[in-house]
Amino acid sequence: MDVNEHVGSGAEPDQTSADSQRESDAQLRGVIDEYMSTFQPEPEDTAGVRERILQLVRDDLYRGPSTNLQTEQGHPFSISTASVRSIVRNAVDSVDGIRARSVDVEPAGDPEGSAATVSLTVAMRAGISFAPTAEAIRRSVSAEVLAELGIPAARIDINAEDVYVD
Amino acid sequence: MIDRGESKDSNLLYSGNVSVNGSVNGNGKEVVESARLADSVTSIAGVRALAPGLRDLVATATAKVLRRTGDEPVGVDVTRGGDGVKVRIDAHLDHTRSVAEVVDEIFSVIETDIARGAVEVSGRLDIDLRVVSRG
Amino acid sequence: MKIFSQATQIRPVVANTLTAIAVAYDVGMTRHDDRFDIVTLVVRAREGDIDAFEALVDRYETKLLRFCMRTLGDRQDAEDVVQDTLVQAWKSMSALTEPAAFGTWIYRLASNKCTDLLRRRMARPSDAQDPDDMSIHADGRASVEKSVEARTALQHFSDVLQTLSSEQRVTWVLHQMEGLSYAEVATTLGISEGSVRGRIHRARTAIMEGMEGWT
Repeated sequence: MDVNEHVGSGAEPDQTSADSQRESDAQLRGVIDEYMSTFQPEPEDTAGVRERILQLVRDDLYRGPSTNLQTEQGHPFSISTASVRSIVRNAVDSVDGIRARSVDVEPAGDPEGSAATVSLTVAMRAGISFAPTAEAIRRSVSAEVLAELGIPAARIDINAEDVYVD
Repeated sequence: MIDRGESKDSNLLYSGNVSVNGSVNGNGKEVVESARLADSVTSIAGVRALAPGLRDLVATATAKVLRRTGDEPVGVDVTRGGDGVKVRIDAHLDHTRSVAEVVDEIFSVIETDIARGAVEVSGRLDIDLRVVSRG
Repeated sequence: MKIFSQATQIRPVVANTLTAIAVAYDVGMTRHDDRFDIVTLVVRAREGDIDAFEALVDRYETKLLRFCMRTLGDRQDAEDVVQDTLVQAWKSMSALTEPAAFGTWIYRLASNKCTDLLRRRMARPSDAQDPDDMSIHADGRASVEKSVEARTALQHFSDVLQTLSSEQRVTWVLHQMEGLSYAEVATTLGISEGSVRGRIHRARTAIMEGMEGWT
């Protein structure tokens, strides 16, 4: 049966308005497509915006929170918390099948700040066995914190909160 | 005895990277001391750069207002309070050494400079060191 | 540089829908090496991981820029909005309670800024000039006439778009050009689907009326 017959013989009003809407959209499509293609970001545009964004973000980061620690020789210092987290994240990421997510480092020990307590959450690759991997993470974090920060990690808590598939 | 670039008149402009501006917070002596310490600290392995000290931000702004030449930011702030001297440093480190190692050396260098008389300390010495970035 | 991987979705249905929006027009941005999932990137970025934030910027910048260009009709304004949006995202990322919804959230931030800018523009009609107007006055009569004719449908369409309210315009672009469904537009803008339908209908009517005879 011809579609138009339906239209003439009192087809569903919803169907008619839907049809006419589709028709008018199709008519406009050419102009819309042309309009859309007028605005294509050039690589230079995106590169420029990107650089400005990252610079502003870096400046903001420098003003971020700090963690107060102390060297073995007893010299106190503060260090941007982002830097400390970065050290831990790198250690965690280096373990196969593990991605660091949230990292928290708190001053610990006596005097306070002479050691660090680390709590972290990770995403694990599907199929990874948690217990031996947690050990690997602990070894990696412990070694990296000592080597890069020069402060021992007194405690490392790990929470696996998600699984990913490669 | 004349030291390289040194003068009793704190309002002179020094060669090198110090701008002495008597109208800024603190006096010329502290700015000179800041510059000396900054020189020592920046030459430590593992220190990439020093962030502009507070005084420098003020000094630069003031210099602009007064239309004098601004200078390289010093990166160290030496201030004298009621009970002693405070040395404030914001440092950018690199990855070559552990943070604690560099921190210890910064302290050591400052203490050496003080012993040499680069900074006059009576009362307490407070070294306020912040590692701003590491990369 | 950090790398990313698709996380398996152990997430409620709503989040799946929201994540799907980001994937729907990830055309040209997909890298086939290992990738961190959005949740990992967002959690890390909000704790100060600049590399993770850079990865998010890489993923969304071009799409956002294109969306803003189409909505605002101006390159410079679009760049400013995208820059402000992403910097705001960095600063307020802890406000994002569902990291998987980053894509929707970033579009909402950009849409709101576009709406604000359009409103400000409409309050100052003399500023609402299409800079392409200049090129219509080219030298050479024949080419002027030809270029005027050839450009007019597009130019007219651009003018008609400017007559829409800022809300209608943003909503219509999201649906018609960015390809979001009514439900996705509603979620992005934080309004009801009914409101979306209403805006789209009014926008469509205005555009059809305005383009009558031109298509």
